Amino acid sequence: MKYQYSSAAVLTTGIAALLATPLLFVIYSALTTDGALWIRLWQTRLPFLFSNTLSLLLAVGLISLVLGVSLAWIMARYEFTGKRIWKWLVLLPFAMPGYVLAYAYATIMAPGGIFHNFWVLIGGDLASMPSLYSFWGVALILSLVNYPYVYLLTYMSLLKTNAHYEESALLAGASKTRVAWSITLPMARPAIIAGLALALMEVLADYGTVALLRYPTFTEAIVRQMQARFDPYGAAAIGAVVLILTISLMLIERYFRGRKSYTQVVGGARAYQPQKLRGKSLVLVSGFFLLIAVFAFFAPVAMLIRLSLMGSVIPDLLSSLLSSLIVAFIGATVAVVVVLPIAYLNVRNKTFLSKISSYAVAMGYSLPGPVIAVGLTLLVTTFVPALFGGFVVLIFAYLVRFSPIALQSQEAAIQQVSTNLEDAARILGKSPIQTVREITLSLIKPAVFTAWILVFVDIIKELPATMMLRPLAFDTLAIQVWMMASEELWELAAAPALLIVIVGLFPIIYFVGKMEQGGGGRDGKGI
Amino acid sequence: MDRKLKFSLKTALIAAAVILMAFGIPATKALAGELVIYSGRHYVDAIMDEFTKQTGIKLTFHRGGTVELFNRMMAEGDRTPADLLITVDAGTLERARIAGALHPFTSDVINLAIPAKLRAPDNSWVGLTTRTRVIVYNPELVTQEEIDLLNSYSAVTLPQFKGRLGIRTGSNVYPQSHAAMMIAQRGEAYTLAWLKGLVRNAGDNIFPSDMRVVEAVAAGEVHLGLVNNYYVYRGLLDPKWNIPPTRLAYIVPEQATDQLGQAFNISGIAISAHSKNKENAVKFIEFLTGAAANADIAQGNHEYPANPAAAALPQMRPLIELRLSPVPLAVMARYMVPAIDLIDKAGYR
Repeated sequence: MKYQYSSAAVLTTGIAALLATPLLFVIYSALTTDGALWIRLWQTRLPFLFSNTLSLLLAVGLISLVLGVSLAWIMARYEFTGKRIWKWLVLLPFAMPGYVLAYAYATIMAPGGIFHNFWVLIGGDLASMPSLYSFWGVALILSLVNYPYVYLLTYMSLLKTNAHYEESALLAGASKTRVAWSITLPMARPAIIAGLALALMEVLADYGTVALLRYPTFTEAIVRQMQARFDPYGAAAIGAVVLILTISLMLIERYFRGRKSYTQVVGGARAYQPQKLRGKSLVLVSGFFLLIAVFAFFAPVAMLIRLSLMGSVIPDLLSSLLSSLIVAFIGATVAVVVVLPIAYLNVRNKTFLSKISSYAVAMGYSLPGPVIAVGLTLLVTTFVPALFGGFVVLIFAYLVRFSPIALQSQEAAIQQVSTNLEDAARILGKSPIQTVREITLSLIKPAVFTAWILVFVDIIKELPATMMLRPLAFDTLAIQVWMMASEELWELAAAPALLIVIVGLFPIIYFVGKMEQGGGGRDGKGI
Repeated sequence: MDRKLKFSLKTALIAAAVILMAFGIPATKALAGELVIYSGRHYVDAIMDEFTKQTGIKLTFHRGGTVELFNRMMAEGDRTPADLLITVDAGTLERARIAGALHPFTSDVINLAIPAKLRAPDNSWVGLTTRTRVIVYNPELVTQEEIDLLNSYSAVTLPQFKGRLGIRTGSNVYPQSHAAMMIAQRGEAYTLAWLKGLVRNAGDNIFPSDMRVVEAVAAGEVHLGLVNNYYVYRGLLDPKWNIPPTRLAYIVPEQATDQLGQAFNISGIAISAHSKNKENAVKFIEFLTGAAANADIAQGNHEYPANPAAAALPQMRPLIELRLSPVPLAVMARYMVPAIDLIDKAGYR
């Protein structure tokens, strides 16, 4: 059956090409940069940034792996009191941008803060008090906000594992530990690695946490290169190095996500029957969950609430909230609309071009905000200077970064719509456009809405690209948190930070609700 | 709901979004004669109102970080809506001048009011207030012997101050221009050693603002620090802080003739090369450098007025008693990028 391929193909390729321009421009600028700059960067910064960034990735990867997999294991394999609540609680850190968690802990560890006072109380030597402004401080904060990626994907995968394999192994006399290591975990490995890759991409993209805690990474160096030196070409060069890292992570993630069928469910597949936890093990497990929930969510949120109630609220809180809501609304709406034709074409009429388009858009998710901002700054100031510092550029940056989320969820949804339905509508005399509108769109509406929420929340939380591209005096909630927190005006940052966390809770509530209904569906990317 | 209606609703929303975005395009369009000012410093509004009252020229301020505004102006190029740029340091202004973003001009009024040392040679930028780098300390925690020892910037890097020193982040222009001035006088090796000493002695006590350093000194979190002079006065004189002098005092270092002289900087103003209102802009600078307004803006922030005829706060140590670094600010500014490089190299975050 024929759709208007040619015009649709032109449209989708156009959109994809547009969304890929910042990335291409960063690469182009880096390639055409003269060698002297590279030599200077190599002599002054690159090796040190490499070791800083890689060691951070390693540490966060390990911690998230341990936290995520152990939580997922317990959740999938055991039945215990309060499990329904814990299912929510372990996902709560998704609502916390790293910079909010870092800021909350900075207030807790600062002189006069709870931890500082506690340390003094127990007679600890202040000189040997653990410092948040250290490698492990940064690694812990970033692990606490990103372990849910590993957790969620691992959990989903463990739920789907066929119990037969494990039971057979047990019957054959293998020990439980041996079964776990040689059967269960290897089967869940694709999911675990995909989750890990997502978490690490977030670490690479993070600016707020590392900048607030003064731990230099590639992303932080890009912003610094732009802001302190106003050197967009140097920034683009560092950006290109980051790209190699993030794109390889993205490819790893895609590769392993595609291999989910490892746990194929054919014929007599049977879900694992969770074991009941009682007594000492119940206490231990509950304690573990509580510990994580308190450290990753309740303690910092309690601190934010306490600081918010201390009286001084920034005067423009309301207008900041409004600014955030407006750009997030526009960005999310445009994102779900522009990727629709790309998703549709790539599912229904897969061609080389449609695949390339889909990849070009998806690539955006691997771009850290500062890299997009550098690419856009170079691009816009070179070709359309009139647009610089306007909303169009800012929204465009959001599209590049977050429309992949919309693309992925719509592609998945369209895949599930049977072509028979569309054919039937065509036979009954509907035009192709009518068919898409009345059949496909109405069937994928939930997925579109899901994507909309995810993009909306991600835009609210986004910091570095907003910071580098926003119109003058356009202060979103994230910007307010950042400006106040980086000046250590702790109380003033609290209210906008709290608002961001509250907005971030919505998708979690929504998705856990959906998971409870047994849908599962999404892999949690980008929540 | 009817599906058609739903669809038209969606279309309307998208249309609304597009229109909203389109309206966002022009950054700021100025009224005729109005001055748009990118300001990295907050001045008392009353002084600005006074200018509008006297001349009828409307002022629109866009406030932000000095470097942020400078970057924005550079990126906007000849489309910048800014007529004037106000910054908290001369280094940024000189970089803007070298980049061709500023408009040089001649004004006898300004030439008379502001000493040549505090202006660009061609008046591309003009100093409004002078600020100096001092060593702030807590008299309850630093002994007299130590105070005697602290007569140079390098003294704060001595081993006995390890863990007792507070400094501001190296990403800020104040430490950067301080280091630039030092490079101009003593070279890169000397400056790098100094920066490394700062980092060693400060440890975790790196603060996001000079005011936080002052607060930390007064609270005893650290015993001494490096800050701009007016933050000390703000801590002592501003009712919001009201720190007693028993807990907050400062040292003016580098006063001997063989020493560096006190590092200093300005807050300054410049006209954008692309301003359409250059005459009004000159008028505004003449107003701000005039003795009355200049005294007001300096006193409002406990700084020294750039115009010697304007009075500083009586509580402040007179500028004339201080031996400042002989390095002209335009020369200091040339070493800003090397200074940033050294700061990175020293691991000073």
